[in-house]
Amino acid sequence: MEGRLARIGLRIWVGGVLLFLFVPIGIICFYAFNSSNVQSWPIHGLSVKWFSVAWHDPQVRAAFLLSLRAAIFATVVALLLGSAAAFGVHRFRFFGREAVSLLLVLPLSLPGIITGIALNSAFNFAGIGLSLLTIIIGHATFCIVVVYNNVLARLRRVSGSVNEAAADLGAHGLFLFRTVTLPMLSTAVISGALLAFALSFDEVIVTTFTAGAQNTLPLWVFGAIRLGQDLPEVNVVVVGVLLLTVVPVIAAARLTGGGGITRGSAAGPRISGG
Amino acid sequence: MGMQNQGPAGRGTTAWRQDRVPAVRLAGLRKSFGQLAAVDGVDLEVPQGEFFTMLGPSGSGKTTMLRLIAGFEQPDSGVIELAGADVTRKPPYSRDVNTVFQDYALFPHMSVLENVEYGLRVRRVPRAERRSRANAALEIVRLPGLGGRKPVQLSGGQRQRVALARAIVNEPEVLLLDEPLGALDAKLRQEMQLELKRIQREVGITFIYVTHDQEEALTMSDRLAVFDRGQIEQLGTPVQVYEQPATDFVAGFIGISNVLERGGRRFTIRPEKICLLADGEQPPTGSHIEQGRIDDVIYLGSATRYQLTLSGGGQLTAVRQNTQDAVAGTLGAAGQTIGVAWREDQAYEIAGRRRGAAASADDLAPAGQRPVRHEGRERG
Ligand SMILES: Nc1ncnc2c1ncn2[C@@H]1O[C@H](COP(=O)(O)OP(=O)(O)O)[C@@H](O)[C@H]1O
Ligand SMILES: [Mg+2]
Repeated sequence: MEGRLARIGLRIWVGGVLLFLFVPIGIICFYAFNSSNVQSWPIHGLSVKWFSVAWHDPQVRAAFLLSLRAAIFATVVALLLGSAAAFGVHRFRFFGREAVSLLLVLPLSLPGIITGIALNSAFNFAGIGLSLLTIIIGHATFCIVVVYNNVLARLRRVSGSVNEAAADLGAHGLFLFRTVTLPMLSTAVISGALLAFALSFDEVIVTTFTAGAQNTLPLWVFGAIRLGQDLPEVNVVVVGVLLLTVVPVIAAARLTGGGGITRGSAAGPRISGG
Repeated sequence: MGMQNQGPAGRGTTAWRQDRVPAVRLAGLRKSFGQLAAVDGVDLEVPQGEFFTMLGPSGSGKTTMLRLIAGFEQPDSGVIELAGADVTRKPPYSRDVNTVFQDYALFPHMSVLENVEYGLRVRRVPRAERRSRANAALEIVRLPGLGGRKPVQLSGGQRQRVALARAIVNEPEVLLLDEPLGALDAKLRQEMQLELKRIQREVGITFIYVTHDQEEALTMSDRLAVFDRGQIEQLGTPVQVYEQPATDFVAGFIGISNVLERGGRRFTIRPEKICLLADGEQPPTGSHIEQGRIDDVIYLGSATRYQLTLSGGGQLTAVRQNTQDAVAGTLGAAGQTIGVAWREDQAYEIAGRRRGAAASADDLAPAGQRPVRHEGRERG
C-alpha cells in the first residue's frame, strides 16, 4: 500500500517539475501565434503573421545570419581542436597531462561572465577589434570542451582493445584509423559537434562581451525584451532558436545514448554505464 | 581428476619437433611496471603445432607475457623469436601472431564476416578469396550462416567463436589466447574446451593459451608452464606437472597438495594415490604405511575425501572413489585411527620451497631449513 502511494506521489511530483519547466516555454510558443501585438490573456486570435514579420525584419535577419555563422565556425574550430586535444590526452602520457585536461574542461564550469570579461580585456589589450572573429573565439572556449569530452569519453570506452585488435591483425597507420578508429568515434564526434552548435547558437553572456556593436539572435532578443519593443517578433524568434537548439541536442543524445555507444560497448562483455 | 589413466608419456612431445625451429623462443625476457617485475626472466621454447598453456594465478604476469609476444609491450630486456626470426623490436602489425582477446575486442561497426575478413583485407587478399576463406573459418568455429550479423546480435559464446575465427583465418605462426573462456558459464566452457582442442588439431597452428584454471590447463595442453610472480615455476606435460610438482607452489596450485616432511626431506603425494586401509586390510606390496587419525570425512558423490592427521606428523588429504565395495562411511568416522599407505614411487620429493608460496605446507617445515632449488630465482 505504502509503495503504491509513494509511486503516485512521485508521479505527481515529477509531473509538477515538468510543468514548471515547460509551461513557460509552451506559453511563449503559443504567443507566437497571437494575432494581436499585445500579450494579454485570453489571446484575441490565432495568426502566423508575426512569422512573416520576423522573417522580413532586416535586423532579425542580420542577427540570425551572424548567429548561424558564429555557431558554424565555432563548431568547426571546436571539432578540430577538441578532437585533437582528446586524441593527444588519450594517446600520450606527458608531463602536465592532468592539468591540460582540467584546463580544457574549466571554461564550461567557469561563469560565462568571467570568460566574457577576460576575453574582452584580452582583445582590448591586444588591440583586436570586436567582430565575428572574436565571437567565434569566445564561443570556441566552451564548444571545444563539449567535443573534447565526447570524443575522450568514447576513446576511453572503446578504443584500447579494438585498436590493438586491428594492429594485431596487421593494420596500422591511416588504414587502421580509417577502418576502425574513425568509424567507432564518428557518432561521438558528430554528437559533440551538434551540442557545440546548440551551445553557441543560444549563448548570451560571453557573446555580450565579445560581439561589440553587432547583435546575434539571442542578443537581439535580449535587447528587444529590455526595451519592450517588437515583443511579438521576439516570441517568433524564440520559437526559431528553440528549434535550432533542441533538434541538435536530441539528435546528439540519440547518437551517443541510443545507438552509437551502447552498440560499441555491447560488443565486449563489459557493460558500461551511461 | 581423471588424470591417473593417462600414461606418463603424456601427449605432445614427439621426436620430429626437435629438428624444427621452435614457433616461439623467449630468452631472458623481463618486463617491469615501475617497481613491479611483471615478467621476471623467462626462457621458453614452444615447438610448432603445440598446444602450450601458461597457467598461473591472477597477477602472475600471463597477460603481460602474451602482450610481449604480440608486441603490445616492449620488454626491458630479453629476446623474442618467432619461427627463428628475432621480432623483439617489431611492432604488433608486422608479427605473424594473432590474439584472441579476453574481451574479444570485436569491431562493433562491422558485420561478423567483415570482422573475420579484416586481417585478409589488410593483406590485400582479393575479395572473392577473402569471402571464401572467412566463410571457411566461420565453418571451422561452427558459426556458418551468421556472417551478416553484427557482434551485438550474438551471444557470448558466439562472439568468442567469431574472435577465434578472426584470428585463425590469417593462419598465423602462433595464436595467443588470453583466458578466452573466462567470460563463459561453466557448461559452455567445457564445450568450448573440447572445441578449441579440435580446432587446434584441425588448423595445426601453435596455440599459446593463458588460463588461471588448473583443470582447463591439464585437460587441454600438450605442455604447460606454471607461472608465479613473473617466473616459470615448472614446465612440463600435464602428467609431469600434476604427478611430480616441482615446488610447493605448483603442488598447491594444481590440485590438492599434500606435503609431508620425513627425515628432513619433503615429499608430495596426490590425494587419490593414498590407500586407506580398512580393518585387517593388507596394503599393496611395496607400500609405505603410517597410522593416521581421521579428522573429517567429506562425501563428494563419486568419491569421498578424508582429512587425516598422521601420527608421524603432518596432515594429508586422501580421496577415495566410491566404488561398489568402498562406499562412504565404510572406513570409519572422524576420530578413528586407520592405516594410511602409499607406494614409495608415488611420493615425490620436492626439491625447492620458494617464497613460502604454499600456505598449506608452511606448518610442516621449520623456516630455517628450506632447500633451495634455483639459486638465481630465489627472492627474499
Ligand atoms: N600496464 C600496466 N601498468 C602497470 N602495471 C601493470 C600493467 N600491466 C600489468 N601490470 C601488473 O603486472 C602484473 C602482472 O599482470 P598480468 O600480466 O595482467 O597478470 P595476469 O594476466 O597473470 O593476471 C600485475 O601485478 C599487474 O598489476
Ligand atoms: Mg590476465
